[in-house]
Amino acid sequence: MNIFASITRLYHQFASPPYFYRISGLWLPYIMGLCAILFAYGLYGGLILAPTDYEQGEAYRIIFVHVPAAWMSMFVYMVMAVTGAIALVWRLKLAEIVMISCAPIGASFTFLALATGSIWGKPMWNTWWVWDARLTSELLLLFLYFGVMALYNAIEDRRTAARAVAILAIVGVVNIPIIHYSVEWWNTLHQGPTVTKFDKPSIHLSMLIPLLVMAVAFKLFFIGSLFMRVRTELLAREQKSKWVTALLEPK
Amino acid sequence: MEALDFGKYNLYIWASYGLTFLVLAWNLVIPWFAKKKLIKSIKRRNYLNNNGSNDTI
Amino acid sequence: MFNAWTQIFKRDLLIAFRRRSEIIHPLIFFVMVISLFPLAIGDDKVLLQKIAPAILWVTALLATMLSLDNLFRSDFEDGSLEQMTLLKTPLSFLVTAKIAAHWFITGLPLILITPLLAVLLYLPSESISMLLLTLLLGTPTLSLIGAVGIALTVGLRQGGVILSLLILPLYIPVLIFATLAMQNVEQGFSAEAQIAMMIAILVLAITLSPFAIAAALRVSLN
Repeated sequence: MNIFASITRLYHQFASPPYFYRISGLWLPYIMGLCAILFAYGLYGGLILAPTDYEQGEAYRIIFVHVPAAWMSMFVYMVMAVTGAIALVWRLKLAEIVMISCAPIGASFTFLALATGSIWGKPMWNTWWVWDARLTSELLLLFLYFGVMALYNAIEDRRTAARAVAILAIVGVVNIPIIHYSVEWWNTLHQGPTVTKFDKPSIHLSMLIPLLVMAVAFKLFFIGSLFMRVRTELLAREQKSKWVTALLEPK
Repeated sequence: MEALDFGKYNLYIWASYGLTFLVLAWNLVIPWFAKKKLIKSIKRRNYLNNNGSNDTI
Repeated sequence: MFNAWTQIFKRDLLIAFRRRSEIIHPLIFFVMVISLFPLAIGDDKVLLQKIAPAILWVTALLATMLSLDNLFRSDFEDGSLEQMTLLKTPLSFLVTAKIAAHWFITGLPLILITPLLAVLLYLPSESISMLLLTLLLGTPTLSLIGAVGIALTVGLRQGGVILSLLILPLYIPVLIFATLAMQNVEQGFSAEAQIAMMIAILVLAITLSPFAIAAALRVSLN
């Protein structure tokens, strides 16, 4: 009984706006600081330490931003869909805010993945674009993000808008496995999976480590940027409440 | 800095990393300025409610 | 429970037959847009034959999207949708009745008129049967997925524009598999894999979309 009581208390505490605002504010500088350090190490490892690739020459170094951006585009969508499900089931305002704050961040990562992929494609495959399975489904992901943002802005009441968007986000989840498995199902131009296979990754360690470091850096960045947006939205929605007024009182 | 010279791929690599930097900067700058703007407007509202106007905004 | 289903199904069919324009307009749209292509390209038999599956499918997709508006709108506006949510029978089950009726009045006529249009585009007869199969599997899927979109946007002012933004990304896999199946048949290969995927997508849509549609309708009726 005690454990359940403390979990319920933690759950209610966590969902309370002033608590989340305070805790996220405490964590934010450390998150961004660690993120900057990891970025620095990842860039150093990727651009300078890692050796030249046998097949692709120096151009492969785009992998250190392209792949993390692509991974993040899918990861952020899953976070958006899961918090959407939480918002739908438990009607938590904080979950609604987190969900809708994910959308622009995820869309920007999807755009980055598509753009860096296109830039990488030009020297490698001599084309800026090809309609293969993975690129097409990643483009689809960008459209899904746009749809989410458009629907949210079209509905006036924010809570209704959040519920509608949550349904849309959950329906769109089917696209994520399509993106991931598309390179296995269709034999196309894009590279097959080299990291997330179930046996040993077939990429060299000196390239794998900067890649993973950059992936973690991107994740931390996402959390930091998400916290920034959520905090602002919390202030906006609760601006008439006591805790906000107390917070902003001139000392 | 010859370690950072990638030969014929220079443009592509720096374009990619530059684009990355821009996207990350956008994700920092937009929320930062949005928060500043919001706090300014809340403070102004609170000030007017307490001191200036006869209506409560 | 099934009584309610059949009642709603028959009611929707009856309303559609009384307002025959609901059936005719998407069909006319379909025929006219298809005719635009030979007019724009000129009488290039080889080229028309090559793009025929693609433009038939894309236009069918657009015609379905246009016809979705009358799925929930009139019930939404006169309050019968709200009444449906108050029934004992689950809303998710009842919406399948509306979608089935909708498919009968839009998808089925589309499929019936397609052979005629395929001839206009010089499509060979072996390809026509595959085209009909993909449409038979695809149009119910399009109706189901589209119903999710229209359920989300039925209460909005600019719903039509946003509808296309929402459901076209979800339509794209159906389109890709259908046209891949047709390309395979044209080149002499088997289209089994693509048809299997289309069946899988249809089954997934039938089983899962009613819940999404019911949830979306509840949000719109708020």
